[in-house]
Amino acid sequence: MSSLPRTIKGFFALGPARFMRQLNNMGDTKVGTLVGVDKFGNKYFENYNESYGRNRWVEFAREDSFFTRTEYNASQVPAEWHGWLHRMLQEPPTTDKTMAAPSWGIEFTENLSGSPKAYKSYNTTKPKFSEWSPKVAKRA
Amino acid sequence: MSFIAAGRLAARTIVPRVPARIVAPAVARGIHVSTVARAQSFNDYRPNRESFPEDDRSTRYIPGRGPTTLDMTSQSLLLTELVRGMWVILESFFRPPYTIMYPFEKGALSPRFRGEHALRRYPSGEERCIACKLCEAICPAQAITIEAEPREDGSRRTTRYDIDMTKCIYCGFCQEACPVDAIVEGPNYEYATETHEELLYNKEKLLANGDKWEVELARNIEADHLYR
Repeated sequence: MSSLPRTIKGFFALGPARFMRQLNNMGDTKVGTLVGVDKFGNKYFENYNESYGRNRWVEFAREDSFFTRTEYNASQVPAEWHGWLHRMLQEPPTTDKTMAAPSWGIEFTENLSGSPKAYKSYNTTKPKFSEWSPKVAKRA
Repeated sequence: MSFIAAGRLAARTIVPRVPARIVAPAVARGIHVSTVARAQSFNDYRPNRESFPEDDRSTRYIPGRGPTTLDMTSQSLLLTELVRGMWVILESFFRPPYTIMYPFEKGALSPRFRGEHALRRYPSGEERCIACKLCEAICPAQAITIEAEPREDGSRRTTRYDIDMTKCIYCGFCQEACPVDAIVEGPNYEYATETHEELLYNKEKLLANGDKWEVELARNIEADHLYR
């Protein structure tokens, strides 16, 4: 939570709907320029008047609401935007054309732990030994 | 007097920040004042002490320099330390917080960050790993298990590439040992799981990680290529 003047300014800059949404999710009101939207609908903002560490942020497409809780997940930021959001890269992927996904790349998934699609470890090799199947010679 | 003047001149020309009253007598007596003593004399926060020039590490009490009994008594009586401490808290209370609102704002990372492992592929889509087992050999936690055999086309590949992520200490030796940049530690650290079993990564999981993160993995390796 931040100061009262900042929150009031945020209300007038964001409008009531986004204001409530931000307070519900982020617990703060943040005004910035929209840098881009990824393929999942997450919106990325920046405002360099904020203090360092808070100057780039994401507003998730799936949000907490009155009826549902914790639909957003920190691991929902795809690999293209991950570097920009963590300030590894200066340019966002919308303007950085050198960032091209390979043709064999697969769809980005969030951390699926706890869901039915969670990864389960399995053996990738053939078994080294098998059970003994006795062959009985026929009696004369 | 001329000795002291020469000493002051020397002190001013060599190390200007050291008080002349410490350096000048020592120079006049021909005693070497080490940098340790100078630093100590400069940084010593105790007000009533002065570094002892003949000995690098000792200090001596100077009578009449410190706070008087009246000073100390009045400070303890008026709880000035307590008030000063509370003032620091009050100042911080009205400052903007430094807290990063985590899932929305994230901390800065280096391209060299060593997070979740991934097995990379060549641009053609062929997997890079040639099963040389250097990563398995160098792993200090022995978290990597590799089995290899020739593929149908005769190329040497792994049939098993398992990493126990709960054994791994994230030292990054595996990616430094790798001659073909196959195993890398990616930028992802948001892979916490609910069960232990989910952290026993096999080859398919590691390759899938590589396919998911290749965009950023390639960028990070490119950012670091000047130093490798």
